[in-house]
Amino acid sequence: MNDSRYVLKKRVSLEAESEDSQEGVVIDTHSASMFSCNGTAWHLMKLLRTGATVEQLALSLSAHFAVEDVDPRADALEFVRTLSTVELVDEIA
Amino acid sequence: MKSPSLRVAVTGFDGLDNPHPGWSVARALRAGWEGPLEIDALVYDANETAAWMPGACDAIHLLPSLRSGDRAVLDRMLAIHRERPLDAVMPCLDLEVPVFARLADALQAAGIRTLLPRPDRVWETTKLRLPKWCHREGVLAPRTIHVLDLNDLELHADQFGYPLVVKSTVTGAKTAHDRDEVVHHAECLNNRWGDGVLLQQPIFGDEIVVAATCNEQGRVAGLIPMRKTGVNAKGKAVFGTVIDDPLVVRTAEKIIARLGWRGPLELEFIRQCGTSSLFLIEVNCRFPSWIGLCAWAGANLPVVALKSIIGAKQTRERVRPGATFVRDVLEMAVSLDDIRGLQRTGSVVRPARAPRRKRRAEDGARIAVSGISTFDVVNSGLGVARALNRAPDVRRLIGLGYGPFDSGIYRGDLFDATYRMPNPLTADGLLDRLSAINAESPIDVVVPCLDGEVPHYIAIRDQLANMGIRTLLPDLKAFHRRDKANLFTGSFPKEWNSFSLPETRKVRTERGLERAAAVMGYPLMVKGAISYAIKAEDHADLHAAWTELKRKGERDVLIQRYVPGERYAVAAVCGPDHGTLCSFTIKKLRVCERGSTWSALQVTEPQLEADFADLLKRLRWIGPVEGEFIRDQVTDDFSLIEINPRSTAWIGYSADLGLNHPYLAMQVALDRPVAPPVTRGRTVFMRACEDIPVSPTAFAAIASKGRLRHD
Repeated sequence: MNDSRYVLKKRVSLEAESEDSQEGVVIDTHSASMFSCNGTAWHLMKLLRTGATVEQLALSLSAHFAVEDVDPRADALEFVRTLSTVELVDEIA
Repeated sequence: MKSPSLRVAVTGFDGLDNPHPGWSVARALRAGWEGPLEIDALVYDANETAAWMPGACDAIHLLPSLRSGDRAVLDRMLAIHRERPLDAVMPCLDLEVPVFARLADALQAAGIRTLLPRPDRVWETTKLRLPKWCHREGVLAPRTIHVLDLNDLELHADQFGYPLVVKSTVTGAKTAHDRDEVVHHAECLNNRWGDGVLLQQPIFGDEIVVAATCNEQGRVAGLIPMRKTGVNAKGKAVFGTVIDDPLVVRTAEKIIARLGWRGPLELEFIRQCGTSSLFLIEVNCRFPSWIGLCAWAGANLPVVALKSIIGAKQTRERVRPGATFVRDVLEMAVSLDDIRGLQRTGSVVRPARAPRRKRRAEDGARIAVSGISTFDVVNSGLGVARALNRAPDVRRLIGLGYGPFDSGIYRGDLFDATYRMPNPLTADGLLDRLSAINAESPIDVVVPCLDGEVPHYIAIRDQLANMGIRTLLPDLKAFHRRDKANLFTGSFPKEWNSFSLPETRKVRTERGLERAAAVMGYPLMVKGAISYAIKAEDHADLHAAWTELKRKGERDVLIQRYVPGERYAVAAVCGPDHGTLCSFTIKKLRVCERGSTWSALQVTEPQLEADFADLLKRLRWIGPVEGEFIRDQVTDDFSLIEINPRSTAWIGYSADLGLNHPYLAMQVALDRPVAPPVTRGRTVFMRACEDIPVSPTAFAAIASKGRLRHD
C-alpha cells in the first residue's frame, strides 16, 4: 500500500457549490451513494482525481493545514483505506 | 435549431399522493422545448388537481371514461381538435396507452400524431404476461404465479413460502408475512381490480428504475436510470438520484430491443443485495411520475419523445448522474367558476393562476415552523408556511425538519433557512436545539405542526418564553383531553347539538375486539390511539386490522361505529381565554387513502362551527386546532371523528380565503390586536405532488451540518 498510487474511480463525481468551495459532496454515480466532505477531505479528494500516493497526500496535508498534533501520514493512509472500503478509489501499483 | 410551435395534449393529471405522470411530463416539456408550445391537459374529472397548478397547461378538457369505448374517446378527441387543433397527444396512464394505440391511425388522419407501442407489445408487458415474456426472452425476473381462483390462494402461498408479494393484475402490491395476510391483501386487491392476484417471490435490494423513449424504428432515443433513495410506506419513490451504471444501461437497452418498443416506457428493477443481479419487476407503458427529474439531468425525455413524434432530428443526450429530486406538494386556490365551467362545457382555456409569492417585511416577526415533510403524509408546516408567506409582517421564516428527506427543507420559495431537529425528540433535546438555532437565527414565534411534538413544546414553553420565543399552545391536560381514547371513551359529553361523537370502545385483547364487534356490528372503524384508521367490513378484516395495528406498535385499539358519508373539517384558532377567534368549515372533495385532503371547498356551517367552539371551550383549548367530521349520508348529522392539536395540513387555504389562520395565531402569540378576518371569493383548495430538484450540496448541508440557508 505504501508506494501505490490511488485515483478516484471513473464513476466518482465531485460536486461543490463553486469551483473554489472548501467543502463538497462525493457521489458514486453507479449507486447514488453520497458522501459529505469537510475541508480536509475535499482537499484530498481533488488530489485523488488525478491520482496521488499516500506520501503525496500527507505532504499536501502538512502544507495546507495545521497538523502539529496529528500524524498526516496516518490520516492520509486511513483516508485512503476508507475510500477503498466504499470502493471509491482504484489502487495503481 | 429552434423547435417548431406546437400544441400537444397530455393526459394523467391526477396529483394525489400517488401522482400520475402528466404534470411532470408537462413541466419537462415547458422546461426544455425551444419555441412556442401549448399544452392541453386531458382529464377524466374536474378535480384532477395537477391540471390546475401554475404552468401545468394552457387549457383543460374533459375526456369520457375509457369504459365508454374507443369510439367515444375518438369522438371527443376530434371535437377538441376542431376547437383547438392539436399536433400530438401523449397519453400517460397505463390503461389509456392501448386505447390511444388502437386510435393512432384515426388520430393521425385528423392530424394528431402519436408515438405509441403496438397493442400486442403492450399486452406482452402487462403484469399477467410479463413473467412469461421474461422466461421466453431470458430476462431475469422473480418467480411469479397468477392465482385466478382465490380458493387456491393458500395452497400456492404456502408453496411459495413467506414473505411474499401479493400484486393485483393492474396496480398495487403488498408484502405478506403469513397466510392470513396473503388472504386479506388478495381479497382487497381482487375486489378492486379483479382477475385474481399475482403471488411473487420478493427480491431484496436497491430499487432502480429506468425511463426511456424509443423512436419510430424502435431505437432508444433517450434513457435515464434512477435509484430510489427514499421510498415511503406506500412503496413510492419520494427521493431519487440519477445514476450512470453501465450494467443498468446495457440491461435496459437489451430488454427494450427485445420488446420492439415505440414511445415512452419505464422499467422497474431490483438490484439484488449481495449479487448485483438486476431483476425486472415491471414494465410500464408510459413515462413515470418522476420523469420531471430528467429535465434537470441533461436528458429531457418528454422533449425527446415529442421530437420523435414530429420527426425532428436529434442526438441522444448523456445524462448527468447525481441529479436528485424530492417529492413535495404545491397548493393553490382555484376559481370555482373555472371548475364549474369545465364540468358544464367540457373545456376551459387559460384558467386563472395564482403566482407563488414570498413576502417579507423588514420589521416583521421571525417565525419558525416545524412539520415540513411530505414523505408519508403531507405535514401541516408547509401549509402554515404558505399562509405566513402571504402575511403582511413576517420578516423571516425558518423551517424545522427532521431529516434530509423532508421536502420542505429545500423550499427556498417558502423558507429563508431550514434546520434539522433531533430525532427522536425529547423536551431537553428540543430546548437545546431551539436555543442553538435561536442564537444563530433569532426566533420570535415557534409553531409546532406535528402531533408528537406538541407535548414537548408545551413542556418547555416557559423556557422558550424566557429566550424570547413565543408560542400559542394549550396546556398538557387539554392536549390529552382531546386524544382519541379520552375524547371517545372517557366521560366527555357525546352530544353537541349539531354533531355527536360516534360510539367507541377501547380494546386491548382480541376477545375484547370480538365483543365490541358483536355489539356494534359491521362495518367498523379500527383505530390506533395515536394514528391509523382501518375500515373493517367483516370478521376477517377486523382481525387483519388488529394484527396490523399491533404490528405498528399500537397498545390501545379503538373500535368505532362506522359513519358513511362525506368528510368535512373545521379549522379554528382559540385564544388564551379558550374562545374561538376564527373558524371555518370545509367539505373535502378529494381525499387520499391515508385520509389527507387534496381538494376542498369552504362551506357555510355556522351551527357546526359554534358547537365546535363550545367543545373547544370545554376542552380549554388554546391555539390552532382542527376537528374532522363525517356527515351521515342518510341523516345529514355530523359525527366528530378526530381533533388534531395543531393547524391542519390544508390550512394554507385559509390565506386564500382571506382568513389566514397561521397569521392570526402569530398575532395572538405576540399579544398583538387581531381584527376579525373576512372571507373572500369562492375558490376550491387544490393540492398536487410536485417534484423539486435537490442539489447534492444542499442535501449534504442539511445531512451533515443540520442547516441550509436560502437567503
